[in-house]
Amino acid sequence: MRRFLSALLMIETLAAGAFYAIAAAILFADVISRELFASPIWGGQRIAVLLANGSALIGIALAVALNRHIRPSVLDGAIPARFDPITTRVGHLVGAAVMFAGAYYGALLVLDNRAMGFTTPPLSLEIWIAQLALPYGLASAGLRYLFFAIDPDLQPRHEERI
Amino acid sequence: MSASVILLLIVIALLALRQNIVIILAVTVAYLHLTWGDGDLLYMVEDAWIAIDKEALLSIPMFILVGAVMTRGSIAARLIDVAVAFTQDLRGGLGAAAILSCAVFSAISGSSPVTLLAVGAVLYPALLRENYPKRFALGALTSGGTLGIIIPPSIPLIIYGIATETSIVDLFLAGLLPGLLLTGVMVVYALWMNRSMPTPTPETRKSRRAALRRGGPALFMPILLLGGIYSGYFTPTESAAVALVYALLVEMFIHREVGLRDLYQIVQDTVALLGSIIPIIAIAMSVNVFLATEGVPNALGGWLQANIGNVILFILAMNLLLLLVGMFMDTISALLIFGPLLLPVAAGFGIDPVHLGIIMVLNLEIGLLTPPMGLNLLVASTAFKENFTLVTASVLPFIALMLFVLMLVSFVPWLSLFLV
Amino acid sequence: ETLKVATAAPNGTPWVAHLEKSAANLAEISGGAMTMEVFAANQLGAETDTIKQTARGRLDAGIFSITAVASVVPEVAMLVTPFFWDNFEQADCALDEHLSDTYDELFQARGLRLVQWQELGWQNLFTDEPISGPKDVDGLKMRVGTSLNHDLYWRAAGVSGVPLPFSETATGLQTGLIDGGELPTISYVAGGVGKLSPHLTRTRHIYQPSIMLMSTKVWDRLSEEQQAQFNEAMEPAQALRGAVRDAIDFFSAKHVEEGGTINELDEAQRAEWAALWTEEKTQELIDATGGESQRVYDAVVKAREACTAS
Ligand code: NA
Ligand code: NA
Repeated sequence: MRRFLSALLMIETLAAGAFYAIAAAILFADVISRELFASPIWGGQRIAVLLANGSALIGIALAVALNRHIRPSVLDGAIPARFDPITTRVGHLVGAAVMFAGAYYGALLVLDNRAMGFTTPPLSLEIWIAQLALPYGLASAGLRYLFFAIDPDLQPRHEERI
Repeated sequence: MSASVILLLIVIALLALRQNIVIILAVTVAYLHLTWGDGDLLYMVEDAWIAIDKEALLSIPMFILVGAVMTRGSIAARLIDVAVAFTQDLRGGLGAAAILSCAVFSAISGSSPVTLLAVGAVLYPALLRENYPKRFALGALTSGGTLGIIIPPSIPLIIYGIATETSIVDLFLAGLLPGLLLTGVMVVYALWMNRSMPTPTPETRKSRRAALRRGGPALFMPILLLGGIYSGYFTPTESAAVALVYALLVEMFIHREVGLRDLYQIVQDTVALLGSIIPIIAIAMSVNVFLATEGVPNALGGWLQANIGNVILFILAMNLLLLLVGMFMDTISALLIFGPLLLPVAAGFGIDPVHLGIIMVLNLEIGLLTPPMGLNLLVASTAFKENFTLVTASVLPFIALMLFVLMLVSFVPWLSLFLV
Repeated sequence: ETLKVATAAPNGTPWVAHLEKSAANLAEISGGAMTMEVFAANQLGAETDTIKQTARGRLDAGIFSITAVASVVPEVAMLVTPFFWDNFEQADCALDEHLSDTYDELFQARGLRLVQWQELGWQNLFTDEPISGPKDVDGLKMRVGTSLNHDLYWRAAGVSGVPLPFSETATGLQTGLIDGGELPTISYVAGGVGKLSPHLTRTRHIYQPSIMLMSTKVWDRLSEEQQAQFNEAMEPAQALRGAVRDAIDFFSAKHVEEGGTINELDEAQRAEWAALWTEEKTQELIDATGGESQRVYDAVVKAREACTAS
């Protein structure tokens, strides 16, 4: 399980990194092409937005994998420490349930937009293709929580890194 | 049991189960939709997508990547060297250098925690080594970090611009004077507080010329960014991409401090950070649509206009409200929810939308320093490994200074609008 | 029953007035049983989003620009090829009398129903410096609309187009990001752009109707009586068109009063601008738009022929 999770983490990091790199390159090339060659890239910003959204949605899963989500700790002591093994597991199951529910509704949105054929102007690209990142990111996050519930040691320690 | 009591219990249960903020927000908003809205969760997901599907939001990942590159490379350290070199002849100069470094770094970075971490990593140990009181060192860096969001470029000003359809270029210009004023006030305070500190010993002194030469490519960055925006070469959104390309070129080929392995780590950290922030933005924005559909902004506006008689009272009430909001909410959600809510009311009192944006961001900047949800407090206490209460106490004098500047900026619109 | 109606137009504009009048009519006719709640100024979100929500039945109806409708029914782009329409009367006649069925069929396939064709007016050219003809915009950085018909046209003119949202247009002019652009006259003057880039050339290069659409889900839910009441309550499109065209005249006069210039083109001059748009470009637009664009375009051409006074 640990090997699967770290491989998944690497693939997702590379994919998200590639999306950001392409988005930044398009934005930069748009400026250069407009200022030097009087010829802007048609729909460049739109493509960049969709790519950045893809990265951010994969990021939801990455933040779960690395335990980087912001977490209020005001009620951490509400359940006595001797129940910790159960509390942790139940907590992860709740996390998995919410993420999978999000992925389910995300998939409904994708199917709905696919049936309707909505595009994202000025591109003639159908919006559902870009929205696939939505159910993917949430399902991947839910999957992590599910693994954590089975084996809480798989979850890394929380560290603040910005 | 009424619906709001049930919601409260759900939130308490989630907190007790140690859930993260994204999950708590998602469940809360889903409950709102099911109870008071049209009852279809598909709409909530749709709103969340719409919220993040915006060109102007592109600058957020770009600026965060810029911050990460500069912190992992040496741009941040070299900028700090310049600030240190130019203040070392003053008594308490290193204290002033801490504030100035934050201000200079703010002119490249759009985010407060990034500013705090980049400058703090170098200057916090340095201040302690030179025997500055721990309380001052913590306070100066934690508060100086908040300059990141008022001195342009600024992610919160971009968010306000999107939420209220106000020109981001104008907002950036308007933030300049209040940002410099706040920097000046903090520098004077730092020098006054540390007037009995000695100037540095000869072996730690830095040559100004060497610092300037080493810091040259980094110092050019604010000029490139703001110069490019104000001479019409690119938009604020595009400036973030230009900054990223520039920072990468400088760190990889001039400073040679960032390699491919570093890039992997930078990307992973940034993606995880955005993965924790973007869903918060998305859900907070979806609440906005929900509130608008239910007619809340119009009702609140009507109430305020009927019950608050004049502009002075309104500004005071608004500042109080925002300070309170800043205690419990993060900056971005607060701007997304209260920006569009306050805009029409403020306009009714003759307050310019750009001025309102600066007032809001200054208020929420203070909110970064107030418990329980003060982001800079949390980041500082984790990064410097200090007790949360100590960090909170350390920023109190700086909060007083910021309140003073807030009042000036609120009642002297000229400060914000002079350059616009 | 309260119908939620969205529009990008701000309060106090002819479009909102038109909706509010219709809402009052509906309340009166139905004896208070039915009314409309108008959400002006993009309160519920951008048009490209609210139109999808209308198609889904989450919103009941709305007034949309061609750009927004094209994200749902791409074939509407066939109405806005540059230099296609000669004048208002021709367009009104073609839309109302010949094209409603053609398009309503396409709208209905996407969950939308045509309520009426309305009006945005002509896109015109504005510049910082006075210009005499197409050669003067060659190499200029200009704010252009974000659809293919605009892009194709201005590329042909050698313009370096910057697709800016309206809210950034004024500052784009101030910083020099753009030296001009295209806008409908009302937005140009009322939005303060006319003070920054004061030379308006009435190219009338693209005519834009706006379209009021209703969700078919909502429509089908209404009883026949309610449907009849709704149809009766809607103020006629021609009233709104008149109000919009009056507003164009009003704002044009205001622009000149404030020190701006308006350059009216004679037929030879307008022909010079029109020559930038060729048959090949029309075909390129049709092919790029896809779907049933060819069939629809042919219908639009036929409608124009039928409405051209001989
Ligand atoms: Na900044
Ligand atoms: Na706070």
